[in-house]
Amino acid sequence: MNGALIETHGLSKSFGHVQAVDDISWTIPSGCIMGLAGPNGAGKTTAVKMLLGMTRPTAGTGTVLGYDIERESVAIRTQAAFVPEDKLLYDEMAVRSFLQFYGSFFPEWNDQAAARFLDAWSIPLDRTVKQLSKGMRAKLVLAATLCRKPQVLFMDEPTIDLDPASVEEMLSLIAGWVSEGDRTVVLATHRLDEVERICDRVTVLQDGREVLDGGVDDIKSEWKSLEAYGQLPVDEVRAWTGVHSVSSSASLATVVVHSRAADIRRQLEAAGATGVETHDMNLREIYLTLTNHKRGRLDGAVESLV
Amino acid sequence: MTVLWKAWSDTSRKFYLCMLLVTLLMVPDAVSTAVESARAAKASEEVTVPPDDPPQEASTSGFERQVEIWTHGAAHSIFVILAVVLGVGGTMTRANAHSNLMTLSLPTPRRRWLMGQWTVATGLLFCLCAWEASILVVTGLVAGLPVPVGRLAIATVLTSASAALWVWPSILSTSYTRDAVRAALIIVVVIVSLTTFTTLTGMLEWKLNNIANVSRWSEGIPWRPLISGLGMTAVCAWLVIRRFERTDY
Repeated sequence: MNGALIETHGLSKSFGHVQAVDDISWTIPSGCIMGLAGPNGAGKTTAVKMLLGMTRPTAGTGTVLGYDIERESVAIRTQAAFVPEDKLLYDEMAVRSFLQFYGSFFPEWNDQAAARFLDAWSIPLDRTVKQLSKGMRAKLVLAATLCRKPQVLFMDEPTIDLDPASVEEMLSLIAGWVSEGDRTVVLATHRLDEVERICDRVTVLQDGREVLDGGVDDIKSEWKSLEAYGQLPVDEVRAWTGVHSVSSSASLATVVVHSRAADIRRQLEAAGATGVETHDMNLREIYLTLTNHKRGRLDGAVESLV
Repeated sequence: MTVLWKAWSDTSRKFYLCMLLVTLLMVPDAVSTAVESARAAKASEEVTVPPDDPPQEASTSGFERQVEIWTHGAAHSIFVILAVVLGVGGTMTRANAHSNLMTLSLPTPRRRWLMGQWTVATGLLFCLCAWEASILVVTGLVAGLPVPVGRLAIATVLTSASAALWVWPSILSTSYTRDAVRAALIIVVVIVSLTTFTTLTGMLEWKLNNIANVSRWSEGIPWRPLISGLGMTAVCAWLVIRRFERTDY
């Protein structure tokens, strides 16, 4: 292993004519928390399932902890844990039975830590899983996955059912857990504020393809929004290197750039733009730009409800 | 062991229902045998009864009839249905889809989950057969009648083994329907069709219930039902394991 805990090359998956994941190539080193974002159906969960050997790729290769995702998936699942989006577990099992069942698969299972987690989160051992709230189930799954001492943790929307205080607690827990050893986390989520908070790296998928991949800080330092006044040659600006998109209304143009912000600002001023202002973008804004979020597209539907 | 425990937790309710059904089917005959026997004993105390007294004969023949039903493979049909009931369901049903992601993310090969399901269903089927045999033994002891324990033990093994041949087909059926009830119905239709076909075409030697017939074994090994039954179950096992291992979750 060359320091990368997860490596993929051209990993793809199609279901019939639907291309769920298209040609993703990752190298995720130890100690990294990777955020995996994208709209619903973008292929995030499918990508994670392929890495765990639960879904077979139609093309490409991949390894997790040096094990081949197709041939050695059992070895991968011994050291890589999965927190699924749907945290409905074995409804009829008592929490105690669930932990005994789950822990019995892992020789490294830490019973004491499990008891402490449950105690801290006030999760009663004698209740059935069905009787727990969604938030408690999410915490139970996280506690169980951490107590098995995995090296890689795949999490699919881990905080979706949690209240804000619990989200903070869980994010701190994940960040602390990764910093303690030779570990990595892949966090599939819609919550970009969480990605911004704890992830070192982010990948955005759309229609199965990577539309953004890089370090969170690098991306935020490179992506800028430039606001400029004046009549600009919009089509020409769109073609400039580093420009992602241009939108204009009346005399105001907004130019989103993914690199060379300073150069493009100078180019805009040379092209006759006045009052050019450079704004930082957060991940949410970058994501909405990348995924072509169109404001007002539901206006017609809303009007028809009235 | 944990895989078996999971399979047991998926099957336990069905097992208890099957046990109740077997008990309900057996108890009326058992009670009637015991009552008849007690009545005969009381009558023999009150009057001098010749050895071939009709009431005693009636209770004896009633018990013998039950033993005959059990050892001649006639109970086979009931246990085939129970095998289907115990075999369907499990990890591959849509009802369990919500927990499948967690189950399949555990470091266990998929075939092991199916093997666990088969092992538990077969084991429980044996328990049900043993339960029925136990009721017969107790009935005989209570009624003071001679109990052919050896024959009953052999019948228990043969009946459970022959009925267990339908467990893999039931699991296979579940893999297609992903619904326990529909899977069971399909297998019952297959069983009825096969039985009708073998009866209509005079292929009675091929019937699987010959395996459960203790007397049939004294005439020699019933190769035809044995080979066809084992072949059927082996093909179904191979198909369903291959299918499960290739399914994307």
